[in-house]
Amino acid sequence: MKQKIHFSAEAYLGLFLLGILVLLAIFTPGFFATNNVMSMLNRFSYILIAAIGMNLIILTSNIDVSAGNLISVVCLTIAALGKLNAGLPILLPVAMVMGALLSLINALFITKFRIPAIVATLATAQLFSGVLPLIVEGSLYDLPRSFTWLAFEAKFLGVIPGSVLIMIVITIIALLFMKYSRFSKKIYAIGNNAEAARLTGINVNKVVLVAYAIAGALFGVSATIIATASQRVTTTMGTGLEMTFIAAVVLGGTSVAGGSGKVLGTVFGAAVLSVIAPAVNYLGISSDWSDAIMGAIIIFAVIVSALRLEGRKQAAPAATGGASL
Amino acid sequence: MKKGLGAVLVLFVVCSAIVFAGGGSDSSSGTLKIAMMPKFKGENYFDAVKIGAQEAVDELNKSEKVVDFLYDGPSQDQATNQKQVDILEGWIAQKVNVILVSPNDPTAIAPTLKKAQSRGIKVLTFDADAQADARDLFINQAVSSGIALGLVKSAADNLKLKGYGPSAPVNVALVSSAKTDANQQEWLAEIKKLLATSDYNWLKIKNEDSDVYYPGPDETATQAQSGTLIGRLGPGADQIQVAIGLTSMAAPALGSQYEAASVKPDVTKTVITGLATPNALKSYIKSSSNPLDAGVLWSCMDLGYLAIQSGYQLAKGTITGSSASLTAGRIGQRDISNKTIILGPALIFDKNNVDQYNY
Repeated sequence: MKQKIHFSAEAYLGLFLLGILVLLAIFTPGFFATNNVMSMLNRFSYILIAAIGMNLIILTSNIDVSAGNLISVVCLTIAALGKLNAGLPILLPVAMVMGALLSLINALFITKFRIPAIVATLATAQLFSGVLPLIVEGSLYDLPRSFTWLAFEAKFLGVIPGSVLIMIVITIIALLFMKYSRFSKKIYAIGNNAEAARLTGINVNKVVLVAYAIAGALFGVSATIIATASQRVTTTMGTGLEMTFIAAVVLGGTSVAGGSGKVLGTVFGAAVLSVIAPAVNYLGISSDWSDAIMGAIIIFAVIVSALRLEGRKQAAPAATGGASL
Repeated sequence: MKKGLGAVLVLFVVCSAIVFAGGGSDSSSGTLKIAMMPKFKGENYFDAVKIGAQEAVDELNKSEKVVDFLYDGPSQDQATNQKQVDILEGWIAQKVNVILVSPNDPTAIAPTLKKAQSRGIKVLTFDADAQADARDLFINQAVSSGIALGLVKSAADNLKLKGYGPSAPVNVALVSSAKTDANQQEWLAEIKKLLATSDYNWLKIKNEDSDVYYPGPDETATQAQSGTLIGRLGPGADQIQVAIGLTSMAAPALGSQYEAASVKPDVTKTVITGLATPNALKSYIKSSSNPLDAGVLWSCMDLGYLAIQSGYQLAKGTITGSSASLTAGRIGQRDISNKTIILGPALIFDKNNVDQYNY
């Protein structure tokens, strides 16, 4: 009984992912060809990097539904720089700073004006998508070779896309940061009980602001990977992606109420979501199924997580936080 | 509150005075106001149409100013009927003489177009048609069967160069838009008809569920699904030999995902083609290491040119909806049948002529 509870959500999800991959290896011969693996890893990289940011926000028991539109804004900004032949050394930092600043707007609404995160970010989502058509008529195209360098030419050992290297670096930093930093302890404390955290001397507003800023910078990194994939950047590059990020986080076992959840879970969550669509295609099934399958997996994960939470509450009624650290 | 209301009223009066003043001065000068509206602004395709339209306007205005040219439309992410109607209402109020429109929704836009007609405005559609009784003429770029033939022929010609043919059949995959998109569905149906004929029956869509992609109108989803398709390209019987992009988003996405692929499928054994503007495909067509060697489209600039010429002549009375033909400047003569003018056959461009087109 005790051992069963000890078996973490991340472990379940990891096993599930492994199961899918084994089945695919058996039933779809071409699936693990280098090309498809690398193309999936590329998609995985921009979903995961942004999902790590989203995880940070959700851990503080907030949310960000403007992330997709924020990414669109950043994509167009760096595309404008790309038109001037700017390369990745300029594009990436600009995207990160811009993402952080836009995300701080969200955080200011939430902390200063006490607007619930879902309302604040819904409003900024509209704002971001509304501002774009004022600046650009639809899209920027004919972008130069220097702009698409990350997607077209940056290949580590000649095979691994540059985006995957960026993802690995960010994931390792995130894993260490969330495990060892004092800041992450504050985030978990706020997510569990903001009032209690405040009473212990944590500056709740400041922590939330920093969490949003870091997340915004990560959205900026994802935006760079998404934008540089081709020679055209439209005003809708990020539309709807926020739901994929939130799904990856929730699937990864992070509680939407905040305070509990690990980066490793988000890694597995993002991986499952990146595999489903190509898998459905390689299995020869209509792509109409992939959304339905993803939805079913998420609902299943949420139910399992709710049942686990229920079990934990019964086992230890005073379980506030500690266990999730 | 009352003050605010007063201010609004004053503003309203001032604005309407300006509008009326503007309208008055223009109608007295005797120039024709021609207003053109694309489905959306800011994309290579409609930008090129606009260039052609402007060229026709400049020609007409050569000796004296006879045409006032207005151009407006929704932005790309707001390409809805309502946005188009809002702009049209403004034009009707301004009393323009000719409206040229590429409707997002053929039936929903009809009442507004009929209203314009009832005020004596000549209404023409181009690129996409409206309900037939709501416009005086339709400038059709190419018929569906012509577009399908262009795509299949472009694919087949390149495949033959790479050693395929009736004795070495190939698997075809296509990237479309959404299943609700009328244009793409019609072209796909025409393509399937062609693949059933003896000329092209060596091109096969093996499994329609997995080999026709519907990423919708979203750029990022189109990139992702094109990436998956590129991974399936190769010479094997269980692989795909030719990928066709049915939208101006999908065709360049296939080109860029090939460039981004870690292990590039054999360029001598695979073919990519599709419907897009020459500029969007130029860099891939020119690269000998990319199997995207040709693209298909009609001349967008000629479409804009022909649209303006038709609108001008219709308003001047040089032609009517029941005329048999018109002579449109540098393009020459085109037949009018069933209130429709067809620009011509689809255009296949490759590395030899892609530089001639700047759109």
